[in-house]
Amino acid sequence: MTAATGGPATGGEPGGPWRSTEPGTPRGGGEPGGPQVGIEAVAAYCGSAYVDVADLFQARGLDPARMGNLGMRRKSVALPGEDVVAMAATAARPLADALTEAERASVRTLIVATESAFDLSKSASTHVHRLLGLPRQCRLLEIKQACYGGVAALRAAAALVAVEPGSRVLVVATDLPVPNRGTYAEPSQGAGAVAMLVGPRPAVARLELGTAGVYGYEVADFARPRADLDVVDTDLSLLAYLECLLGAFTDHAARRPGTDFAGTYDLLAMHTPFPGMVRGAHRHALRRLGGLARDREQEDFDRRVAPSLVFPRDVGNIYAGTALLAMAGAIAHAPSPGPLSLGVFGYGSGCSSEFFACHVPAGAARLVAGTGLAAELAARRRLTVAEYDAATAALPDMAFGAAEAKFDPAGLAGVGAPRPRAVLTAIRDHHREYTWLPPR
Amino acid sequence: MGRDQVFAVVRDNILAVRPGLDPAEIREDRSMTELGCDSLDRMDVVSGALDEIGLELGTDRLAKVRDIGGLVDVLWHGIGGPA
Repeated sequence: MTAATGGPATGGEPGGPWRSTEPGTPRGGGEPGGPQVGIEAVAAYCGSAYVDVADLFQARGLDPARMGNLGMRRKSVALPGEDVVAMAATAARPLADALTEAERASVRTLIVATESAFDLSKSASTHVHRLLGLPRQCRLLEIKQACYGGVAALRAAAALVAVEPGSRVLVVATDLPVPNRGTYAEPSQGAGAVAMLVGPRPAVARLELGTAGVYGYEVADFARPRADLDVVDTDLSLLAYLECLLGAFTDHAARRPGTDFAGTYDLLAMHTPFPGMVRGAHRHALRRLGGLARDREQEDFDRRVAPSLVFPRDVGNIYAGTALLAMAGAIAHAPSPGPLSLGVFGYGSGCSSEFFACHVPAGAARLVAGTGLAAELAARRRLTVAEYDAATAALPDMAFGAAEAKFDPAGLAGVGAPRPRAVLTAIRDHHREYTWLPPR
Repeated sequence: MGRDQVFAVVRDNILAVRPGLDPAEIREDRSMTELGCDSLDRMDVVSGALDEIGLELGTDRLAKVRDIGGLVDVLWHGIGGPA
């Protein structure tokens, strides 16, 4: 997936009202002349292989009647040598390559968001920084809060850009779950990374400052107390997601008078554990927050929400990066060229959540669609379930705690789209070594 | 609203997501999973019942629910029924 940076300093959108229904003057970055902060470019890497969800249902003996509510078609699979760092660097490489020297020097922070890190102390961003060859005048850190991590990193990035004018932040959300074999969660557990360059020329999406709504509390819906153990209460997690959507949106609306769930945003993108959950959450929010007759719910979903699900239904849940992937999909598949308003909801189990507004300028859809992600997803190699099981069985070799290992990149070299890909070649005394595979 | 009425709300919401189900199958000692409801169905039943009763209930209150009777109890307590 390639990407374009830059554009005029105004990001193609002068900061004024972006649609007629926008309420008076949002606080912070919404006012004319206020700071412009947002997503300059986006890129993603969602693996070089996939398994068909129908194949997996059949092999595991799962009830095919449940495929409708799941809403998944394919899920990405990481191949041996593709750990969270390799996928993150691969995702971000096109963004780094497109930077001018001056822009490269302006990248003052690199944040990696993940819930599958392999070190409790050192951040994965150090390795990604080395692989991308970014300047040493750069903050390197990691953010964790389950699937909220990517949105948390994006919001932190916006804040850093706002207080350091002219600077940029590279955000990469990357995750690689160990699938819960034989469960109904397994068909939606994907792998991949999404990278966003945040800076003062938001050609992809301007982030509204000062109006984000947040909602969080401690709840035991999901935890990963060991690298190979997910403790999940699915029912509790879905209800916590719903509670957070209502809570974060209500907080957002209180900070942005006149905002309503049914009418304000042209597009919605939400954390997508599986597409059916987003369908249910949208319906629930419309009914709880009011404003739309029930017979119009489907049309509203198709028009405002379905574009965000185009990528997730073919990739699966990539955890920290899922909400960002949904954002990219919403922008790329927007029904009109814009400018458009986009409401984004990020949720991470445990739990923390945020609802925030973006302003998508005209031309952004072309930029995101031009990254080639759709073609890359189509170019992934289809694995049999036996091949997928073999790839999954190899995950512990590169998981948290791995001390010594060697990986043969040959298996990865022959598949997927033609793009440079980072790969883990060895672990020696816990230290990881990577190399770049040239485009094949 | 009495406990029987709360049960009726839950039953009707289960029938809304699983319309082919025999209403007699919906008993307090059974779980929605046993009745063929997947996680999204169960979420719809709980959120639909909360909507109908007009109840705001924190997620943690629903954490220990294991069967239909348990859900009825939590909802009923939520509207002031005895614990």
